[in-house]
Amino acid sequence: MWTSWKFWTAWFSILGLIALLAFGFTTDPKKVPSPLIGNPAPDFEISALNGAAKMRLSELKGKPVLLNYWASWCQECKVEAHVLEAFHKKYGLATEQIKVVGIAIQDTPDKAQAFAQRFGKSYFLGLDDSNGNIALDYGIYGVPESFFIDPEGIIFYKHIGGVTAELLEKQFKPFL
Amino acid sequence: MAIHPPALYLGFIVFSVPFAFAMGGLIKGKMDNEWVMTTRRWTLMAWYFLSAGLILGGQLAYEELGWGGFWAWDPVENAAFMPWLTGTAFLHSVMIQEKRNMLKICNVVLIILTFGLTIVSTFPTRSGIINSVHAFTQSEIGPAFLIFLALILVIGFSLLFKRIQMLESEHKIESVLCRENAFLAQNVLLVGIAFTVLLGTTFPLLAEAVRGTKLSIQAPFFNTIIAQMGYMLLLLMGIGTLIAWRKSSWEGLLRNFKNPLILATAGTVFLAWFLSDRNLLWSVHTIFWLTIFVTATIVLELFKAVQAKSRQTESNFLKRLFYVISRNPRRYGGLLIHFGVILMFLGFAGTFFKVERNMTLEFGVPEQIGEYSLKFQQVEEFKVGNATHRAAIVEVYDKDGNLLEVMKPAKSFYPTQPQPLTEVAILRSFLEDLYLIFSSENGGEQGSVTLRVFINPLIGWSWMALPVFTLGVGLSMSYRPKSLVAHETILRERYLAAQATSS
Repeated sequence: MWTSWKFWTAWFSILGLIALLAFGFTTDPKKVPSPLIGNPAPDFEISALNGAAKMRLSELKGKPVLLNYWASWCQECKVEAHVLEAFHKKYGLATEQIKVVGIAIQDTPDKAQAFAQRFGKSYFLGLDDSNGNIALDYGIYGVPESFFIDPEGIIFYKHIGGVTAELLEKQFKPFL
Repeated sequence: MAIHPPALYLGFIVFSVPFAFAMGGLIKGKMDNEWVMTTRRWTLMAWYFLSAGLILGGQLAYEELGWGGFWAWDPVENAAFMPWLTGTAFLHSVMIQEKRNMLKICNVVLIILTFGLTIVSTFPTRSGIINSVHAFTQSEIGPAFLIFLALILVIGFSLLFKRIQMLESEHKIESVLCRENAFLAQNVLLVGIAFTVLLGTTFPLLAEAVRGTKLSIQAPFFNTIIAQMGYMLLLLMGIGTLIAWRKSSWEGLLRNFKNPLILATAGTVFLAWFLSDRNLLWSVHTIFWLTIFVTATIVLELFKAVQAKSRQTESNFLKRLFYVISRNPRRYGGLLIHFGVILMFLGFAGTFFKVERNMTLEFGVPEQIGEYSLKFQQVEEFKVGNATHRAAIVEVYDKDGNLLEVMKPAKSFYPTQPQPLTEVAILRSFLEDLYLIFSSENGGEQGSVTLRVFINPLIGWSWMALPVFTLGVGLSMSYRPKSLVAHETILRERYLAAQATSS
């Protein structure tokens, strides 16, 4: 039996399958690759939620940008709202090291504004147009999603789902 | 449809019965055919629930997920499909063991694989290692599942290798043309499909392990490879029905298959002519040919049996049919299940010529798609249970201008759900479904809406497979091997006698 190829094939296949599935534990399926990583962030112009001020992404070059997509109807966005605001207070308001920008998608101006007020948002918030053109450029397929853009305007990281303070600190560390 | 998960679950756990019997036999070194006979009904039941779970899951995807299809080769769908494939192979393969005392090793391997795969299929939903709509929990239970899987495979195969000499077949296949070979070929195909699915599902993990790159295997991979194997299976299903055990001759085969071949070819040519405006792909013609061929073999087989009966007695056709079926419920139950499979294949064939279009409907302006004319009336908001539905009210007319139905594709907003859900609207008919998804609401004077519109031909036929399976499995389960019944009677008498002496 020890010389039978069937015997060895069976054991190698079983071990291979188990090893492969075990390897699965070390990976994070939520880390979805984006073709945008390593490429310039698509530029856009957007009006502020609370006024007529306009902002163009390319104007922010020179500083790293945290670009967050959200919506007032999204539960996980509520969870991460405080994290984002705290991060902005720490690195945006106080030291102006990092720009934080939030773009609401599939939302209405009233609801988005109510959300911003409820969570005391102080960073720049805009609303995507009704066709969702900006979200399309970024290939958003759910909210929240966050893009991490370096000072040269290149996207270096993408996160799906709510962010945590540790994640933000870790990813932006090289620029702090 | 809410019973889709419990049905799958039942399917998974009931396979533990034949598995346990096989393991028990291996441990005790008692590897006759008894375990196969005893667990036949259990295997059928497991197979039935697994099939029901898969069909209901497809229906759920079709009606709730709102992308117009019913099967997406999602890792978890694949995982539930794999034990179904090996389980189907097992179900057929044990018949060879029962009738010809062959393929014993193969059957033990198949049941170990089937049971192992039921664990594999629970694994991704629980461990969170694969991203999928079904990966609903990321619990700590993953490693425990993996250890369990490893134990099943290691212990199962160790026992098999220990007892392998006991399982060597007494008979050899006598000729190329025989039913045994048709069964063997279908085993190879089913396991081949299961392997392809396993490879496609785990390949992203393999790629990440070896090259560190993330990739995903999409439907085209599965469709191209598995479709071909599916066609071959269908062909074997027809051949297996009419070919004889042990030995057949070419002349005999030709005699048996002459009529089905003629019918299939004529039917396909007719359908090609009848549906010539639809630009059908070759795959559709292939499926049409094969399904007619298999149906013809089934009907002719039944017809022949009834005719043979009619020579003996002079009762009416239905009575004779009933008699024939009740004399061999196992065989006709099986053939009925095959007919269910044909219905499913026709449903698949429909996906090859579905119509899919984005349509923007202005208020009151009718737009044409297929035989239907769609007219948008207004956007309406209403409560359904906890949810608020925002629906586009669309009137659907047939080509003569008769109102068929007012359809209400909608988005539903639940207070606790972050994202609006799609509520599709479906107008079902025997031959096709009109399927509307509410994409967006546009501005404009009186408003307009954009809908994603599908015409899905033959899709309802796939769902009809389930009641057919129910009937077929029921018939098939009503049969019990005589030797088994006799054996059980002896055991019962022995037990009663022991009871009597002890009291």
